[in-house]
Amino acid sequence: MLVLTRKKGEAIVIGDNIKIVVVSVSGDSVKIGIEAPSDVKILRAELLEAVKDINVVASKAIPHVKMKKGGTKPSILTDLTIKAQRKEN
Amino acid sequence: MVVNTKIFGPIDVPEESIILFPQGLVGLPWLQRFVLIQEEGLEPFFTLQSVDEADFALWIVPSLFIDPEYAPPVDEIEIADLGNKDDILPMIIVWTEETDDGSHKTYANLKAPLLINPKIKKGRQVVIDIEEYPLKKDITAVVDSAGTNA
Repeated sequence: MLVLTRKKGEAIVIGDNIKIVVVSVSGDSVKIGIEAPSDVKILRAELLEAVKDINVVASKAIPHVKMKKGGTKPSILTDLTIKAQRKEN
Repeated sequence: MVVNTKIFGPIDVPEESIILFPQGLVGLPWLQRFVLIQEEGLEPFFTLQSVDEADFALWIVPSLFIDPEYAPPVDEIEIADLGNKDDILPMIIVWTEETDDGSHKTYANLKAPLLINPKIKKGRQVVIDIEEYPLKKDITAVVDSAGTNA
């Protein structure tokens, strides 16, 4: 990983279109400003990590529920879906 | 083709039913091909089964079922590959967890919906970074009122 030291008000440029500015520093918090094209998605890393964790947790927790008839049926999906029955455990 | 599934065993799936997530899921970029499986009597819930990893399956539900008002702001760029906007269905990942007292709670991830266009069979998981949509919303009451027997 490239590590650079910057002071308040200083910036880093990444590629042609992305600029990262150190706006302020207070204790162990750093406020960062980012200029980037609108098609560059900017997210906090821990949020992506949390979404990944939920994806994994949810995949291990498929509930064994039985529903009664009468849910709201999204017919638009029907031609796409496969009907199936659970295998015997 | 035959797809090995987590809860239904091997099932025969027409190639044209496979939904492609070109970017994979968030944090799991290798999971790109899925089939939507509907279980008799379990509407409106679907199982989104990975074609490539038999052990990976998610339980998803149209957002309409959880919150009719659900309208996450999504960047145009992010859905540029998903075809006609009006054909895109936001699907919500739901799962259950056992609580300390042995009962079950059902949660929904409103922060990272799966946007699926059934017409072109493409999908993408997007992250909605606003507080209004939590990663883990308790929807036990909603599911119960729909008539589940856990």
